[in-house]
Amino acid sequence: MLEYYIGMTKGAGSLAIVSVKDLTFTYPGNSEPTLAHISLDLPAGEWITIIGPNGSGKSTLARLIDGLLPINSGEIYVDNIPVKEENLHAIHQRIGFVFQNPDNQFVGTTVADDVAFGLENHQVSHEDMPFRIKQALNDVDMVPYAKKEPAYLSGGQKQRVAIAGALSLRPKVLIFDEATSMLDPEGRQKVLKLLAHLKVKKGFTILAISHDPSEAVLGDKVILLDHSHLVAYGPTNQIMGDSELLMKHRLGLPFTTQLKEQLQENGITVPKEYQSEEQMMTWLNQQLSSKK
Amino acid sequence: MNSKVFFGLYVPTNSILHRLDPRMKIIACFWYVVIVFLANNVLTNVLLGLFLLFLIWLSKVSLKMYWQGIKPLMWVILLTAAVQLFFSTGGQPIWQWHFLNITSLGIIQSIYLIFRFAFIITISTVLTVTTTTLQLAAGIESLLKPLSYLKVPVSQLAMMLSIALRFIPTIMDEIQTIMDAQRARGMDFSAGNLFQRAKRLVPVMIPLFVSSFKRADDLALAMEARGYQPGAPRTAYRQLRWHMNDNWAFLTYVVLTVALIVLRQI
Repeated sequence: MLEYYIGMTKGAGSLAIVSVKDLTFTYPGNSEPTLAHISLDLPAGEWITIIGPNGSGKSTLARLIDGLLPINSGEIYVDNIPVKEENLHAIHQRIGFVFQNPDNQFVGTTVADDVAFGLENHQVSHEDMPFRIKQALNDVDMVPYAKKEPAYLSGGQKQRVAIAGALSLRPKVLIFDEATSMLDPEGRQKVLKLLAHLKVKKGFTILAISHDPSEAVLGDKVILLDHSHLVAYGPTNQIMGDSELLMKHRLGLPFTTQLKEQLQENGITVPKEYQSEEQMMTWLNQQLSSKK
Repeated sequence: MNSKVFFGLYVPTNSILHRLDPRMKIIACFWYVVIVFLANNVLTNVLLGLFLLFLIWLSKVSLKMYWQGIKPLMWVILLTAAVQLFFSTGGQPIWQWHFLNITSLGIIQSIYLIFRFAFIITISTVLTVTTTTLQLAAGIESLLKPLSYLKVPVSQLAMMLSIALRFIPTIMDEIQTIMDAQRARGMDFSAGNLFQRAKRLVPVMIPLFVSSFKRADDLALAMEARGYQPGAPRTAYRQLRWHMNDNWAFLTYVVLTVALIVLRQI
């Protein structure tokens, strides 16, 4: 079923921050597995997006990596630590998890209290907390809101606080489970910009789950799941440019891929790889000027 | 939005009472309620009344706020006083009709009763106007801490309390959304008698329960992802500090109690 696999060879442990080996998972009471024989490595410092239709097991995979669900069969390593009951505390410290609903992950009564929640759990000393809270809020540009209650914040601001909560624990991997899907366009843009910043400037590995093709094109690599199987794993420009693959798995096409699809119907040969809107514009310009 | 966030009566005037440790204020409030029942004559009641006026003055909150606290309970106070007035015996009988009678002692007792009620309500208002719910929760947690030696899960209870406080505005918003959704389907929440109106709340409560369970599920997962383990040791971001002023407040209370006991004998 695997159509692409341009990941890293199994066992190339030193560069992979997360490594999944022959993972199969069935929810209790289900007869069909939600994930079947998944093996993949997430290279450190990259932004990887998981795409796939509803019920393809995207969230389940993310939760298994963070040890939020018990593994049935197979193995997962995070930062070379096996994800197991006795290591969960260490795993939760290494992975920052941001969920979909901004309200349902806000634990504290104020912004600062919410960021402190994770620090309290990991027994960071009282004296160190103010600095780490301020640092984390500074990273997400929310310092002026430190004393605000969640009722005063927009969805995007709450999500940024959730990211600050994750950052305060100084993790290595950040997982975003459709973290922008409940936000308005402005809040979403800000959060996405923040992700790019965290990846480039701070060197985090980002694993994002998304429904939106315009978000999937922002990362370095794309994982495509469908019917509990790993269908494709490769560079973003290869997978997001492949309209045939995306349509076969009932996924939306990014704007430029749609455009190319229609150009092709009109008999125009187009490059196979995904192009960003700027790249597409340059290419179109070249085409138009060469026609003259 | 304000009413939803500042439920309760907290008034941020930053007075000396606001800056006291919440533990001191909670103990003081309880102790005052206890000694109110020791007041047995005019002098002791005057003493407690003057002390309360002193606290009100210190709190820098207008008398109107305190009146707001008493007003909704006015009927309960008057009814209890009336029962005391008509049914108590002893002292000089003044008026009698079947089983109802008014005696001189009954009049005095019911006046004391009104004052007792007013004192208790006002002292708790002093506590709530000068202390945020967050501080109250922290104070209660700290005061209950000794119970953890008896295997009472105090820190888990405190976590539950603080999450409950945190989610009140969120749930209020949710109720509003559900009610709007039902109104859009032609529901009228204001018509009909009390029973009919209560019945119409069923289609509000059921979706509310469903969504609250969903929220609880999400929240539990998010808390686990951030390293929360029930019963595991945690450090505290907010720590209560006992200042010099708290010692003074404590001393004031000792003096008040001694004065009250002396005046009781007169």
